[in-house]
Amino acid sequence: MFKRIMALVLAVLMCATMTVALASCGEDEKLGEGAELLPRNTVTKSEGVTIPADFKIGLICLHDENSTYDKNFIDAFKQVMTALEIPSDRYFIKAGIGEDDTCEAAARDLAGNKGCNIIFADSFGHEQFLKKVAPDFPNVQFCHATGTSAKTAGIANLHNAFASIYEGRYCAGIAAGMKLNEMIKDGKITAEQAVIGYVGAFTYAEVVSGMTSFYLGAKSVCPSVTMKVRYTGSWYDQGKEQEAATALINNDKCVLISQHADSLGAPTACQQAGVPNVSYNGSTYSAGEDTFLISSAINWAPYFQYIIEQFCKGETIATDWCGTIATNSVVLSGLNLDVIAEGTEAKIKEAINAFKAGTLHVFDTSTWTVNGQHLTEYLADVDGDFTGETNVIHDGYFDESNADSFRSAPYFDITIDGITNLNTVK
Amino acid sequence: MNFIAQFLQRAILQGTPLLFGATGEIITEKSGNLNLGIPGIMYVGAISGVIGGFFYQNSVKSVNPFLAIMIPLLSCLLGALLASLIYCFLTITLHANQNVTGLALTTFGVGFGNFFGGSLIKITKSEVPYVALTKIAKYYHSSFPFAKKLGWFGTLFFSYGFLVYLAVILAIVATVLLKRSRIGLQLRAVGENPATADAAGINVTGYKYFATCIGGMVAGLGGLYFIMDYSGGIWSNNGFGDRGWLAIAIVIFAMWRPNLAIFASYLFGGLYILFNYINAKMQLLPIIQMIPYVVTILALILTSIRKKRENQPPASLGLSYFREER
Repeated sequence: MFKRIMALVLAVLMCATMTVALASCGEDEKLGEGAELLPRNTVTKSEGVTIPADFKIGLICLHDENSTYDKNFIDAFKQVMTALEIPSDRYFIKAGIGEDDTCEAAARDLAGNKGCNIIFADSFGHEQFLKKVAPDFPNVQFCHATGTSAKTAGIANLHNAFASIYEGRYCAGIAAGMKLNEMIKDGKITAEQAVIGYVGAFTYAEVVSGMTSFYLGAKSVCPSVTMKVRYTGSWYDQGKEQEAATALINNDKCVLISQHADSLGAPTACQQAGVPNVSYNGSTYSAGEDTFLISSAINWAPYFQYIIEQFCKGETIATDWCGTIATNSVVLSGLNLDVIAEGTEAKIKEAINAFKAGTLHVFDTSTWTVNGQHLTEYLADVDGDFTGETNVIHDGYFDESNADSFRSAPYFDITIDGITNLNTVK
Repeated sequence: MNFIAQFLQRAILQGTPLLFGATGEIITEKSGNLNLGIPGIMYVGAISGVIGGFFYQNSVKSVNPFLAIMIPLLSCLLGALLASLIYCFLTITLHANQNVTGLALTTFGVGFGNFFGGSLIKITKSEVPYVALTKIAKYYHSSFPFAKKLGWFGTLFFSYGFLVYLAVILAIVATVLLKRSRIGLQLRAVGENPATADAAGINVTGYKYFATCIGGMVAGLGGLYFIMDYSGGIWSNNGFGDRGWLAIAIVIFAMWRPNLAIFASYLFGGLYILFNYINAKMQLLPIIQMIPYVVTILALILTSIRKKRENQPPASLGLSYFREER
């Protein structure tokens, strides 16, 4: 009996090997991934800045460096520590700090026991705990990514920061639109079949802002494009993201996929289905050599450098700060030269230059409508109380992430025409 | 028809790691060992396969299909075997509490996977933290070339990598072995009443070791499948999620029958992805994803009420066997 079973198992294995051996013939040479379109600049210490010998800084991370989200912070943090010659015994990284009272304990430890001058926390849910700790340590600066309440909390040493990632998303959208144009031109799809699928984590403004800017980037070169969105209800779930992307491809007839969630689920689904993918948070080229187009990400190094140098110069850190393409806070990977459509790089560079010159606005109200109407006014929730109270449309565009006038964290939460949410009540 | 076929195909793909895990756990539990370390062993199996595959992929210029399959496969089996042996040594030889040992092994296995996964990620120096074994994974993912020509029929039956078929074969073989072979009878005897089995001359320790190790290796294949086939060779820390616990839930749902576990695994897989196919509102997601567990609880209640002897777990499940206590 045992021999028969073994024979059966071995037969299955041999059949599998034979099948795949046939598929292994004839692989072409690839051009690979091109140079980064917006690379992370080398960090150099600003002139006239001296870092005191007793300066210390702490970083609080939701997960460790094996998380896509947190690695982005940790890498940038270490890059700045090296560039500013801050030795490893004067900076502290507390990884795996949940959005609960462990965050408060970590912040108190960094401020009280470790003697940190600046403490930075990377997750939205950390903010409420920093708000509790900051008043007890008025000489310590508490900086927080993605937060919303530094301006309204009335705590002088609490600061928020974000980046205009929607500009990067818009550029990535151009690569998607150009690819769709190529597919239309080659007769693979009709103009009406230019449907993008988008896998989102939650219905938060951060996700809505990112996907809308991506869509508008695609629409700027491919006017007939539409987009269908599926939410997974999780920031990181390989299975759910992969299944959502697969459903978008198979059932919703989407011919290109992008995502705002942290696992490799969507890029994997695209690679398996042979559908182009626009990634996020860094290049996923090696996971999808035949389908990856481009990726955008936030570079936190400029902000880390800014807060350290401001502190060391004895100057105040902005209550709210938003990095841009100009500050190197928004970066773009290289293009997959084997997959992108001709002319993509030139189009993206055109947009980058326009952003730098201030002549291009992602949310230009003349380029999108809501129920067929161009908006002239929109009351956004800028103070974080989940009720819109501030008009953020002026001079013909929705002024997203304006840290000076409004706040750095995204507040664009409008579902515009052309985008269909498949599994939300909105 | 295509819509249904695609849904069922995805349900089968999602259900396959659960099927490996459930089959492995049933084989183990039939010997009286309640191995709650299965989720950890699945992690160990997955990362062991990834380690083997990683060093093979990086050491050659062009990948040999046979080695691309065999190296991760054997690495996975070896890793799962060693993890199972830890459990066996602690619970069978040292008579440690099975629940505690199993839970500790799961914690250990997840940590083991994430530690070595993280180490490999460091070696790759990837901007995004993952390990891509796409060059060898495509051989795991290869399906029958004629699948696409057969429409929905091909999608439903021929569009899978070989591990999907192996999972079904192993479940059927386990069913036949447990029900109709001398080995199966003796194994069940050990699980029901080890003292009686011992008196009948059956090597209780040997059977417990054998079943737990084989069960662990089968479960380990579930981890390997998830990485090499389902995820296309992409390892990310914690990517496997809580599938190991679902596999244990399926054991109860399937009433310790591997053939029923095939159906149960695909049902659980289907429920896992259902929200995409009925366009359920996001707010309902937690409720929809709760269904498999609710169904398991209902199955437990029903089997407890009916008390049918063939639907009960092995009588000595979770108990250490002390020969001296006879």
